[in-house]
Amino acid sequence: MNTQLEAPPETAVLQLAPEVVKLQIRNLDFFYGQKQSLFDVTVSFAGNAVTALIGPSGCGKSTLLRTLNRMYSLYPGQKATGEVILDGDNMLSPRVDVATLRARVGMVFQKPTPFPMSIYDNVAYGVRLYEKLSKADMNDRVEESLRRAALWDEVKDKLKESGLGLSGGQQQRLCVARGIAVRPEVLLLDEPASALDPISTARLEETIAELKRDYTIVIVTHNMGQAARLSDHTGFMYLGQLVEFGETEQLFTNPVTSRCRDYITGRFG
Amino acid sequence: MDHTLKAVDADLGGLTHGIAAMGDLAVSQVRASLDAFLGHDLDLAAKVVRGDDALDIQDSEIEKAAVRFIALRQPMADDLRRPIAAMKISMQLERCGDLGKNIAKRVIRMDAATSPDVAEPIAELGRLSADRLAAVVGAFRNGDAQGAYAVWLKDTEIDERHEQVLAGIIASLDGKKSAAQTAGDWAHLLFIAKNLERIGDHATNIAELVHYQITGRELEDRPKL
Repeated sequence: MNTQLEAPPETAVLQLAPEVVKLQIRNLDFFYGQKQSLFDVTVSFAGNAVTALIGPSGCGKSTLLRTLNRMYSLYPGQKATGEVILDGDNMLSPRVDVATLRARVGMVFQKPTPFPMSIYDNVAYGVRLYEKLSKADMNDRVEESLRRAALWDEVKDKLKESGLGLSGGQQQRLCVARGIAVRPEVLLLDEPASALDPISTARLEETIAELKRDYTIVIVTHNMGQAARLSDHTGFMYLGQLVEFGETEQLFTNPVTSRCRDYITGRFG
Repeated sequence: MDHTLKAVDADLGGLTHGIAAMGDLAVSQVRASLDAFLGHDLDLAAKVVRGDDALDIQDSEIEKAAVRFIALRQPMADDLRRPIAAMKISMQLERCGDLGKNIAKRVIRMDAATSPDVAEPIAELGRLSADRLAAVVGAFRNGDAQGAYAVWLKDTEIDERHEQVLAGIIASLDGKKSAAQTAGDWAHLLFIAKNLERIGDHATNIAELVHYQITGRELEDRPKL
């Protein structure tokens, strides 16, 4: 048996079996104007699974998330090169309609962003942009979405009240309900629990754990306990590079790269 | 690289120091029990029996420190392996102390000093086990996975020596060798030899834990006789 302590590799990215891959990133570079902030990121995300992205502030994890539904295209001077392949189609291609892409790849942000309208309309708003549903069908869609977001029981008697009147945790689950109401394939979550108390965080985490049965979920989080609890795979990013990507259990118990080990054990300088 | 939160390094250093100190004490208890056996030194044997309490206290303190570290620092990766390994190593060392105490108690109960031709092979077995225990405590203290692996590889030597000791005792009981022990003393000798062999097993267990703590990999397929 070889027990020599070999020098750890600089990077270690697990290659997933092709049959489980839903979303694939190939040779992705990202630029804020002249400044490059992602460097040749290549990684695959599994379907019906949660992938967590961790790393220190400014490492590029939110930038990576924002490329997956081209959120960056709202801002001038921001550019992504490479490929983001969803079920065989390159989402970065100009031929892909952004509105359609965002219906396929939904996003929930760090701070709850309910619209200043009723709870019902918050959920129905996005659906109306893409589908013409009867009143009964829309009612069903709103209920289904709120149930999946684990919010239905708390709001079913006040659907006409403003979404702004909900607690922070409820507002965030309302945003999840709004995100899944358009029936996306992928759900992106950018630090969705950072503004929530522990109970709301636990409810949101349970919601995410339930949602992975139907969706591919990518979550950016600074909370390593949350990444460990929730995700099937974890990617550690640093200075715009994907340093390590692997099964969450492996990464948090025995990381391969010293940079990942230093980060998750709190040895980062 | 040090942890950003210095208290984490202090806690881990405390765990390492505690285990190393407990290991040193366990080794000295085993060696003292062996000396008591060889010299039929009842005072030393009584001292070994009394000294075991200190190991029990250290074991309890290490367990509390490890639980506290996990609860308060929420460690990951190698930081998580350290309190887990500390608790397990501490338990192994505590058992070694128990076995040393048991040897000492048997020395007190024995009717007479053991004749050198019977005692010396047992003492050789004991020195081998105590040396292995000392070596693995050293490997732990120095974070030396290779040193732990070397101890692990040699487990069968102790088993072989134990078999030889047993064969010698049986030969003496068959009257093929001269010895002046009572039946009770022969029974004690069998248990003393077994205790020393068990201490070797604990040293091997500790070697596996030290290797796992350092590398994150388990040693598999322990060499067997």
